[in-house]
Amino acid sequence: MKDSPDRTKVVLRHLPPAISQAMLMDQIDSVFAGRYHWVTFRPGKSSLKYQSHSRAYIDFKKPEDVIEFAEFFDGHLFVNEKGTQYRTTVEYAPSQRVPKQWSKKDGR
Amino acid sequence: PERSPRVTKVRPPLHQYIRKLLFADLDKTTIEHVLRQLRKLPWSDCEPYLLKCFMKIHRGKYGQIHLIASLTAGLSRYHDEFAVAVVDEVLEEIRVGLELNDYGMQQRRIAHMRFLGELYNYEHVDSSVIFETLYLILVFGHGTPEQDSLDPPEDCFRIRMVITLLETCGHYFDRGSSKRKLDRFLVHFQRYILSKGALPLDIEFDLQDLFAELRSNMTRYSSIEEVNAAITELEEYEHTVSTEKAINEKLSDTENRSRRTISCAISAK
Repeated sequence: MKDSPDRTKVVLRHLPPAISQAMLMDQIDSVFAGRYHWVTFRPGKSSLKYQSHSRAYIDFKKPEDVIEFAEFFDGHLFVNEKGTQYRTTVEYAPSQRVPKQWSKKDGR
Repeated sequence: PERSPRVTKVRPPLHQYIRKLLFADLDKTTIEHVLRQLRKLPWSDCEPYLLKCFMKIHRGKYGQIHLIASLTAGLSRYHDEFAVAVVDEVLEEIRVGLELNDYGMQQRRIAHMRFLGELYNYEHVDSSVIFETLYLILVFGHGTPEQDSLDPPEDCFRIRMVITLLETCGHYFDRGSSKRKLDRFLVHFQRYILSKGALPLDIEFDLQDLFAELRSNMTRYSSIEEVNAAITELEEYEHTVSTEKAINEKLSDTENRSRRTISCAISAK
């Protein structure tokens, strides 16, 4: 899309359903620590009936870092204990909104 | 034969309460009460479950989806993180729906399209997100070996998805850059429709209603050749005015946003 140079929020899709946030963040932080200001993790689910992948949304400080991150993680293979492979994808998040930094405390 | 007794799911009381608020109590007269109760929840414990319930809008009444969008707007003031997650999650659901194209998911997929449209109406997504989603629906999986399972020639479900989204928020794209974007999209949409060949009558009637409502003067092309010619013309035109457009776009977008302020009617008290 035409305004992609300004985009900073990406989504990592097709992560293993059982990956933990800590495990994923270790890998990300080994190269990208301090280069993003917001990250959120959505655990997946494995049941007999239905499997959903884990996801993570990351908002980088600089648009250029998105490119480097994609080179690093797009197509990255995660292998779980049973040997199942998950090929992760990196894409610009369709919605570029991130939570406002100031979050008002709810007086309720 | 012996049958094991049916196991009923036992939910923690707080989860039961959230479900009662969203799926039983919520209507237009109680929405302020529901919002207040949701705000009183122990937020850090309940947020993931609340998000899950917001994604189950197909369990509630179709006509009440806008109330969930309104709650999202109401909660965003104190829990912006939640409102952002709702949008990300709906878009993910739509994407996964396209990836699986599972017949059993059709009802929820339609509900998610409606929800996305209502989130636009409550100013929680930008028009660019709407248009990206619309184009994604037209092209996803095309040109790949899976095309025949993701969007078989006789499958008109994607047309339904587009109709649902545009029925919900298309009437806001009536001026400025978003008007032009919708005009452009509708030509591409027509090409997609024509690629399907003869349509079932119910879809054809819904399309006629949609065009009548959004663009009553727009030409409905009758052949692929005609619509391709129209797209070529459109692209040439876009090429010549692209620089000029970039400047005007910024101006009219700001003007457009301020017109959608029906939303915060139930904003927090």
